Amino acid sequence: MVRERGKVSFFGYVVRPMMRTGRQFVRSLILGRPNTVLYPHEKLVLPQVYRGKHTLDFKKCIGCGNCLNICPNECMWLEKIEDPELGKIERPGVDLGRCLFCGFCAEVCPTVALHLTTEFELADRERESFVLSPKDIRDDAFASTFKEERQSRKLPYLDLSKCTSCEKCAEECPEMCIAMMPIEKVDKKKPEINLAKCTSCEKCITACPENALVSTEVYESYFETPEPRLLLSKCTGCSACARACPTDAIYMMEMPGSEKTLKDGKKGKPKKRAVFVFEKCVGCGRCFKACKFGAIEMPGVKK
Amino acid sequence: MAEMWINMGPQHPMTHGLWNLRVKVDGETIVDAEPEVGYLHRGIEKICENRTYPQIIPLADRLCYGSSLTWSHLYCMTVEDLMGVEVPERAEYIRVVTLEMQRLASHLMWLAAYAVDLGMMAGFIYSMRDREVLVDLLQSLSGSRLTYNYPRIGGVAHDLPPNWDREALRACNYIETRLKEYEDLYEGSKIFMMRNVDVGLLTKEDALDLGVTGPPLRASGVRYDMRKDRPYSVYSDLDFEVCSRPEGDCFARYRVRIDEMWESCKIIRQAIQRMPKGKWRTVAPRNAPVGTGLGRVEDPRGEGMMYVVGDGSDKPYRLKIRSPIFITVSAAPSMLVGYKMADVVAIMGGLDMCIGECDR
Repeated sequence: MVRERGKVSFFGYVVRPMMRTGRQFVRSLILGRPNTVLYPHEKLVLPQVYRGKHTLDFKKCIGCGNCLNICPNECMWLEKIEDPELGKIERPGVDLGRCLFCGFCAEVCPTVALHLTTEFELADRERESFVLSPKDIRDDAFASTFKEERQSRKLPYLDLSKCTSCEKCAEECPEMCIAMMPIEKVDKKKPEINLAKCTSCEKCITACPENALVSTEVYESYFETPEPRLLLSKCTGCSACARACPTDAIYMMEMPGSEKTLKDGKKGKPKKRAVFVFEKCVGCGRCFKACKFGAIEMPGVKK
Repeated sequence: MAEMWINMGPQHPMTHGLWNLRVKVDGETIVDAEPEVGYLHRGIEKICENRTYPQIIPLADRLCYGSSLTWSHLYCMTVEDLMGVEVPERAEYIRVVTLEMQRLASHLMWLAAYAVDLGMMAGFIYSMRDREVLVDLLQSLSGSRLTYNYPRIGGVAHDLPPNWDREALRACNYIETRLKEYEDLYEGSKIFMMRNVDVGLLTKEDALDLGVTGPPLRASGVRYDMRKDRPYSVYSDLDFEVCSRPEGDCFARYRVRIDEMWESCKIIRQAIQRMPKGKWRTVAPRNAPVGTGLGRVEDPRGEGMMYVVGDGSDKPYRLKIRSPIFITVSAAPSMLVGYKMADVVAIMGGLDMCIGECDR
């Protein structure tokens, strides 16, 4: 049945494979260049992009929960903790037993606070030890040693409570990327910055007489951030969304002319409404979850 | 002599995963065969319906442990087709380089498994040693050794690290010297040739009728390769040959894979040379439009296809995966009948079975 292919003589089929194995023998044992490392004593150098155990920079983290939303295995959760330095904060914890080490949580983090280290020896005897609380993964120094691949740039962030609608920033902008947009039902205008056009020249920041614009370092996002939308007719002005917002992008503003006339003829306090500053929004959907009246819509976010 | 059925599997060293091959033997000769798959069914297609589009990428990696990058790339390509996302040119070239590296790594892993099936331990150790070079390169690029999670919808996750392209070219040279070594090691061995030549004949007609794709089809004399016949990514700009052999036996399948490795080295060199500078990732939309997307690629094991139906939300309505091995394994009876029991290992090993994608 066996057909001869080319010239495979007696020495051919014995000597040729033997030569190859002999060469490898000489190389690894006599010349001393083995292909393996003695693992527990020697370790391979792992690249920075390696996805191992998580670390979290508490100071950079804003507790937005974007990492929770992207996690395919739902292995992260937000934990309320009291920090002596930072006060009452919410920070994510990780269950390494469920984690598939895809690295999406680090990729989606808007403030690059979450990273995956090169630590891979995570095996343990008990399942409980895989559940890492925020304090277990805290490492504030790690983020500064990590070379970020995502590009950052400085952008003006608006503090709406200080803004007087003087339009000086819009006049100063050389790229014409600031537009004064009127806020509905509030007799005020707020500058809206076209972030795609902004060149980070910071002229608007120096021009602002009230110091309402603050220069902030922002990292580019690879994921489309869903924007919240307000249904004004349903908004009661309870400011639950403003309290929930991790980036302070929601301001409660009074609507003049909405005052109810009380029994004694006096006018009460005017109603409030939420105003979004979209430049600050990270698309976490916490305002949407906090609103009990269905006044905030967010397409594609689970409640 | 009385005929009898023998179960080879689900736990058998030949199977490389969980599947069962029932063979009907008359003495030593195989009269009939029946592959049984489904032991590793995880319901990935159904899980995908409950996950958002980016969340499926690491799941697509887990379809096949041998060539995970191909599957996540295929998934991203399909969703890009659905969403209409333009991929930057640099990302396409990076993808081609990594895909060909994955093909090399996958074929080397097959070679290792095949060698150990045929009782050649040296071949196993050598192939695994050389696969390490490619896996290390892919790890330094993507951050993981087996499930890379590297392609993204609208590009790739990371840019090339400094000096990576030089290292990749060095790895190509290294693999090419090693390929010569394998040719000496395998084709110089009488035992290997006796167990391969004229064993497991799959005729051209049978292969076409049963829908066999990939190296088994090309080894039966059909020059059919998705990269040439329906070019995706930037394969149309690159110069390479489609390897095929007319014999249709196990040796031809082995030879086609070795030739493909030479071609892969050629493709990596060209792609690195032509790689433009620029962006490697774009922002993909969150929600897909209502419609369908289709992607077809040349997996190391055959033609992989995905079909996705979007319903306007951030989750796919349906994701269909066509696995090459699920279809190739149905050709087992036509390859096995007439050969001896001892040939089963060589014949089924030569198909490069991967049960993860077969059962999904």
